[in-house]
Amino acid sequence: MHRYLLAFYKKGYMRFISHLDLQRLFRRSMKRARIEPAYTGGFNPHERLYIAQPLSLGFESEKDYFEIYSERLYEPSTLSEMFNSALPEGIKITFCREILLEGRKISARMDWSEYRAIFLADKRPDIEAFLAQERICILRRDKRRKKMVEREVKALIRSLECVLYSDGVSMLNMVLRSAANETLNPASLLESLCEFSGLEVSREDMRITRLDSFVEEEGELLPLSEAR
Amino acid sequence: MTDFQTKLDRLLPRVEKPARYIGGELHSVVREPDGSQLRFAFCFPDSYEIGMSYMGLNILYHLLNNTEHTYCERCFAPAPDMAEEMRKAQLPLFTLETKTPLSEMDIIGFTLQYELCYSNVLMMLGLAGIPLRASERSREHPLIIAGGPCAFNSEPIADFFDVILTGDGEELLPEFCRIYAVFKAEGRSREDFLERVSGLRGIYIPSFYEVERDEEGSYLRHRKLQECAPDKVLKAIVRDIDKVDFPKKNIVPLIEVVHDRSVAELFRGCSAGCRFCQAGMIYRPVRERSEDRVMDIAVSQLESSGHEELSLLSLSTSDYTQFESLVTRLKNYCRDNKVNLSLPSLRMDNFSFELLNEIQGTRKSGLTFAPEAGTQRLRDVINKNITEEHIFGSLHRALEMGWNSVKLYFMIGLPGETREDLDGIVDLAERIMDMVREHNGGKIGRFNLSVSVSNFVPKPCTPFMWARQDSPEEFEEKQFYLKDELKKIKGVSYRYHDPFASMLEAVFARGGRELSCMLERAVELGACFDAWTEGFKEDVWRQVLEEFAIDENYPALAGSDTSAALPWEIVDCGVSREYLISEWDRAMRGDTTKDCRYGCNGCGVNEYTRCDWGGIYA
Repeated sequence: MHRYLLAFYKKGYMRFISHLDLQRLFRRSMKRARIEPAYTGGFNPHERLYIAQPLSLGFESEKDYFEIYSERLYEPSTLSEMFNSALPEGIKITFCREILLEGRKISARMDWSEYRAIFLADKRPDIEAFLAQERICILRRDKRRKKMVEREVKALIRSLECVLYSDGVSMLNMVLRSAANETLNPASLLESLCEFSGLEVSREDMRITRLDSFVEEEGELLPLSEAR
Repeated sequence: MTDFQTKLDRLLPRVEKPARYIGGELHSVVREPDGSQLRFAFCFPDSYEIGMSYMGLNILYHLLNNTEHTYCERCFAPAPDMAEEMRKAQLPLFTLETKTPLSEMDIIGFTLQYELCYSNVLMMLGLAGIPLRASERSREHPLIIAGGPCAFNSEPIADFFDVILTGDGEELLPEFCRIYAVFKAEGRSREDFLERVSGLRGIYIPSFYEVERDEEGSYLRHRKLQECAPDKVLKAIVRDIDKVDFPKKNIVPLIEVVHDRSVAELFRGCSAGCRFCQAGMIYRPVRERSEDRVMDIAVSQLESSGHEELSLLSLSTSDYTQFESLVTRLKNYCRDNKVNLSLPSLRMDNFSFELLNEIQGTRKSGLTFAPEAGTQRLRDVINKNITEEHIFGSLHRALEMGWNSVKLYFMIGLPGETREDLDGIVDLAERIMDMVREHNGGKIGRFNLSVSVSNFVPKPCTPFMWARQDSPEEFEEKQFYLKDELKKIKGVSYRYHDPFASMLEAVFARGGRELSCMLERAVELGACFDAWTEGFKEDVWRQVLEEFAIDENYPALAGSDTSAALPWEIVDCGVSREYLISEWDRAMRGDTTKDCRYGCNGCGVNEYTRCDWGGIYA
């Protein structure tokens, strides 16, 4: 058995493809490309393909990850090429390597993700003051109680900075918690930031891209693609 | 980025399932329009999820994009939330492939699969900013055409279309486009073009006729306004379906749609002769695709799509002459390639049982029977060839093999129906459950019997086209009667349909040109997605039916005498009026008519084309 870690981008209109749809798309691409994945056991076997973490509908990504298992040994570059021959425009494999069979699922290893957000606002968002708050809260929909509740997220923000503000266009970079058991959605954080800064920007008008995802090792961030 | 794209980008995150509007699927065709092509928009007047499940779209899309100088794109009816956002943003309806406004197309072709999508046709034209009526359009506007089963009575919507194409589209539509391209290149007028194509078999040009009525407003006849117009429009017939192209690379949707699978058509037409069934009449004669061709299509589609399911398309899978041999090959292929094989409309005989048992294993789907009527007497009236012996024999077998879900389909309001026929439905359900208990040692266990009852809608081109339709009140009374009776039987679930929607379907199925104003008015008042329970605006339709005085006396609901002329008879569906009358008479006498493979019944279609089917088993 072999295990492969792959990274892909998802751009343009493909940002509107949901997590479940993306899983089906990868499964079908494997069939089209005649990639032979390993299957799970049981009455309803399915391909052993696992996407590291769902991406919100509407977000683009520069580098998202998934892993597949196969009985076959593929040259990583060949495996990427096979995939790419079968993928629609807007989704492309950019990285592939074989990884150790042992070890946790990649979804369990992820700690942080880096995002870039672009939106129009009539002034520069006041990030320093926002981060200086004792508590940073976002509004989150409580599905059970069916209402909006506050959630304190300060510890889930590793960094947040405005890298550019010009002609009303804000470009922000941020590294946010993105682990299997705890994630912070950048759109929710930005909503909170905009409200704090007195800016009227709705989340639908933010263009958000996930740039990469990381494992934290002794305080340092290592891209998933380079993690041991 | 263009202004259009900026607007679209702003709007997409705000609507439900934005991926319905993005295109970009594998095997969709994206070309750089260079002005030399004829641009065609294939419009499906329902949601993306419904439209993308329709094989006809893939067939014609594929054919047109393989026709020289022709570029075909797609467009579906935007959901109400999207339509609302588009109106607010003043974004006109666009094609998925190149995001081009529909108004810039040369031809817009709608497929009309069911009557309750008519409001969506007008909604889409409205969103495209195109005048609804053909008479209000000029050369500046795209040519608006339609095809599909509803083209066999296009009168209620005839005023909105420049051309209606009847019958098989595979040869006619590309030919039509080729002629259009020549006329466009030569800069000739729309009138010249219409005159030229009016001679093609299958072409109906509504504006070439005027409807004459008597003093009471009843339909008399179509009167020709143009010399070139044919007296009767004969449907287009593909003689050999093995010779026309069938897609091997289907568009693979990016989001979940109703049917997302590879599909190979086995044959067109049906020889059974059920008297209520429009498909069984308008697709005559039966024409088969060869076994090797079907196999090749199936394998190519699966390989190019990565689909996890294959389905076969026809009106009656078991009637395919090479059925056992083909299905054995497909079964093996599917097993080796981890593909599910779906076999709709099977007749449950020995072979089918073994087959389903093998391909479904421990995950058996429900078995479905469509007796359509509750007693043998009424089944004889409608010429539905299925007997109780068959149902119970199959059920016995099914129980032994471990099936625990059975579905029965019935219709109510069939011509000649009495209370006994309704009781027959209840009785059948009761006896099925008795058999289940007997088999399971007195218990029902996990067994479920689902009884689904639909309301009979008389359709043009069938022997029942003269029948009266039950009123919504009559339907409702029968539905409640069945509900009360079936409630008493443990293990039975009961499903039925909205009688008001069935009435509206009948109005448009057999109505005439007078309905166009009513349809316009309903759309003005917000009607759209009438085929969807959540979209259906009953109050709007009640209001317009009253405004336009459409009531139980309207011929489409009241039925008519066989001596009267009917508005859709301007189109000849290939099956003769004499044959339909004789079948109507036989129905009233309770006489059955054999499947024509056991002897030609003289439906008349062989006067227009070769029919290889009459009496092949005689």
